[in-house]
Amino acid sequence: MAPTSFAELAQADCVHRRVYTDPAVFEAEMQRIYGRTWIFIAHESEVPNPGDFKTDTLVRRPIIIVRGSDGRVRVLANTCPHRGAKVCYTDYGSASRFRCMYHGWTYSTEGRLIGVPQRERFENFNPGADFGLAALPRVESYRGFIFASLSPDGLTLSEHLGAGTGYLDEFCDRAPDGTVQATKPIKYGYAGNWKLQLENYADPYHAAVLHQSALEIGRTILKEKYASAEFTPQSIRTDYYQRGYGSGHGIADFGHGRGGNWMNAYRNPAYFEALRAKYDEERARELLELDVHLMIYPNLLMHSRANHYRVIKPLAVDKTEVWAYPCRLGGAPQDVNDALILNTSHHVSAMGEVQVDDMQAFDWVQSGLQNETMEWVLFKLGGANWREDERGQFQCDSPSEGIIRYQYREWARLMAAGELAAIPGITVGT
Amino acid sequence: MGTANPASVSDRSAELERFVYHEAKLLDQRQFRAWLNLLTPDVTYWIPNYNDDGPPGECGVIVLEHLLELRARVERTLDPRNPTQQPPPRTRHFLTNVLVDWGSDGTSAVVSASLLLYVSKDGRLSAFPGQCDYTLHNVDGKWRIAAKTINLLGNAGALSSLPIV
Repeated sequence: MAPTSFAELAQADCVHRRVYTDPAVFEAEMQRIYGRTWIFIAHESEVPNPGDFKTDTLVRRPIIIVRGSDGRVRVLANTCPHRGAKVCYTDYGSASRFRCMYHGWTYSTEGRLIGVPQRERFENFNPGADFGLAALPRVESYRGFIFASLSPDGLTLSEHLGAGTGYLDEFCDRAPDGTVQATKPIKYGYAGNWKLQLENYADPYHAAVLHQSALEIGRTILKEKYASAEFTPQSIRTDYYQRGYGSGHGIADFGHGRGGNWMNAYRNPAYFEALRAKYDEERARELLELDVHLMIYPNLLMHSRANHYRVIKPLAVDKTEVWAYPCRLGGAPQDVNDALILNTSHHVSAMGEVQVDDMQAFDWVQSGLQNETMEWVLFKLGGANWREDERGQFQCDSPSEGIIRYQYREWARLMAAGELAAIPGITVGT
Repeated sequence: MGTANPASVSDRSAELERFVYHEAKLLDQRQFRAWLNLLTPDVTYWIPNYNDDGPPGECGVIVLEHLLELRARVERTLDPRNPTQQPPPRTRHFLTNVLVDWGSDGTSAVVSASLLLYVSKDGRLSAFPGQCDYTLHNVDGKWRIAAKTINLLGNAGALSSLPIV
């Protein structure tokens, strides 16, 4: 049966192709998911001082992330309320005010209107707070990670993140001083739906097949590179797990130490000593061996091993950008940070070793789903071992497609209301 | 070649121009192992992520590799299991505005050129304009690439897969 409502598009272990191909579904997602829940926006280290700003887009809306003179970070519309022009024109910078270059209206770094040329000649014009740069109604941060919501009400950020904060903590705790600093992003784009990236990140099933060439050739060559560092390939663990945390967030474990030698950044005795001094030996090892993908639904992906986060930017039903931000670990030796940044680059860039394979797969899926005969996309791997653990989290063994099903439970919850318009199309087999 | 060659500066510069054209031809013909032979053992191959980037290592890169990693890249590129090579992209490098800046002793030179790279893949044609800067060394009478830096005009934007540039 063809689905007649949004809710029916996502079944327990499969989703309908229209989830990836229907522009009406995409527009509904942008309202019901991106317009309602918490969206990751920026990291505080990108705007460390009063006046520091960054511009970006939140689903096509131009925004300014700016630290005001009061020290607070705001997310403002990059749109002059006079005629609608943008008022800030560079990616990053520092400013004492924003001045629209069209007619000269000027705004403070808190978004207040502070100057209107020839104001005495305006008619019926009493600019109060209404004529500032519109601020997003809710902005909160957790350990430097700034989230905002287009909706004035809903869960608090803390309620939304739930147990997912544990892995955000681990991401930051690997820094000897407990802070990370985001560098400028490495961006990639593909002709496919935004959820393909989210699913792929939760999917250890594909790695041995899709990335076979990258993994085998990469490891062989790098074995040679690290020969002098007593390179010892580690056995691949088989007891990987996946966890779901509520609100669609989850992790996919890729096996401790999988990348430990492949990405050899953490092998620095001074760095290990700094962590051991701060915690203890066991915790220091645990932090360094952690190799998980964390997904904060719907747009933030974190990579513990290559020490970066990625922001998913949906542009159209079949067009997506992903911006990957390599992070420096505060207080870690320079060579550790340099290596982490290079590792991220070589993982995700357009000439990297891994993400280019995934982008090719996204392209194949988006093309393949144009066949109406391919109605349902399957997520049936590892279905039997879901369980709720003692912390109230869902967990299953890996490799599994369980965490993808978990993402779609949240998708269906947020998308539930409303009828789905019928799409006229060919009828097959009659 | 090199210091022993009494040829005029313009003849010697024309030789380096032919050398970078030859390099481009090897890449377009997918003769990647032969391309590796044009590199010095300590080669640096760098495509910065932003035009104002400082020294490599301080910020992300599109690529920063040396001979070992480039050898791995070539083997991956020739490996039919590599998804990005299904089918292999076809490329055409256009180099213009070639300028040669000779080192003091004639055994090294910096060559800069404007680049226009076309890539055909899966029925899509993409263009990547930019600039190539080569540091060339004369090693035993043969010119070799000690460094190649490519500044792509679109480097700060979202890119999909790039072939060897």
